[in-house]
Amino acid sequence: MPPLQKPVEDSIGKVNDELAVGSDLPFQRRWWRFERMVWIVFLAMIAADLLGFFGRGYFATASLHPADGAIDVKYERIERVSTPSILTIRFGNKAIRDGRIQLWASEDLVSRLGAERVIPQPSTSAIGEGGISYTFTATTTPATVQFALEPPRIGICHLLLRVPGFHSVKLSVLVMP
Amino acid sequence: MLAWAKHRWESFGRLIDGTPLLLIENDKQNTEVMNNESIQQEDIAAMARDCGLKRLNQLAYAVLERNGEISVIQKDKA
Repeated sequence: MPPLQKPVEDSIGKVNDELAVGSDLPFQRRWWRFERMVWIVFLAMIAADLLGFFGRGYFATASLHPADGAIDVKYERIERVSTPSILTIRFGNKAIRDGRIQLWASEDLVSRLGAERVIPQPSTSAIGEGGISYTFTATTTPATVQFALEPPRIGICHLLLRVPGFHSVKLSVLVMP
Repeated sequence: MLAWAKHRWESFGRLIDGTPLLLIENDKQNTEVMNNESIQQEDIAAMARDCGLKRLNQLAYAVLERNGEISVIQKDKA
């Protein structure tokens, strides 16, 4: 069978019945609309990222100031898995008793938020009541403790913090991939 | 594989490569296409000069091809 067997067909659409160009403007208009939507989605994602909706930005940082004044907490409400961050707890005067500060944290602090270091080192730590009780030696305010976190897995984590004799503080943290 | 898919399905080829678009047709510029594709009149004039034409009104058609190049077709000489 000879290789050149198919006759040339002039099947391409023509403009003004003379120029075979195969233009499809309605399709192209749909494509341009799609392109604009993609651009809007990309720009929205970049803006959300810069604002911290994916972590490390204005909206990712949160702080809690309970009315009882025992502690102030500054934390990242949007964390990234395996990425270091700092949870800062500033104690008020009321939290210092007999030169010591006691802090109880639910076990999610270690298991879900991956607390790796406590700065400064507590003088004692004890497990119990579904969490860890830390005791720090303290003189006067300002007294601040920092926890170095590195969440091991994704999900929403609810952390409870409490100074004995005061209300618990509940933090919700979203850990993203 | 992409080439095979484009050959197999014409609509897929249109999606990947687009379609040729008319930029100039009988002395009229298609501003919708030129704006959306960021084509300037100077781009068409450059291609016209490349083809030995002195003025844009010597063009019957200018086409933005699928590969991004501009091809120009001269008016029939009366």
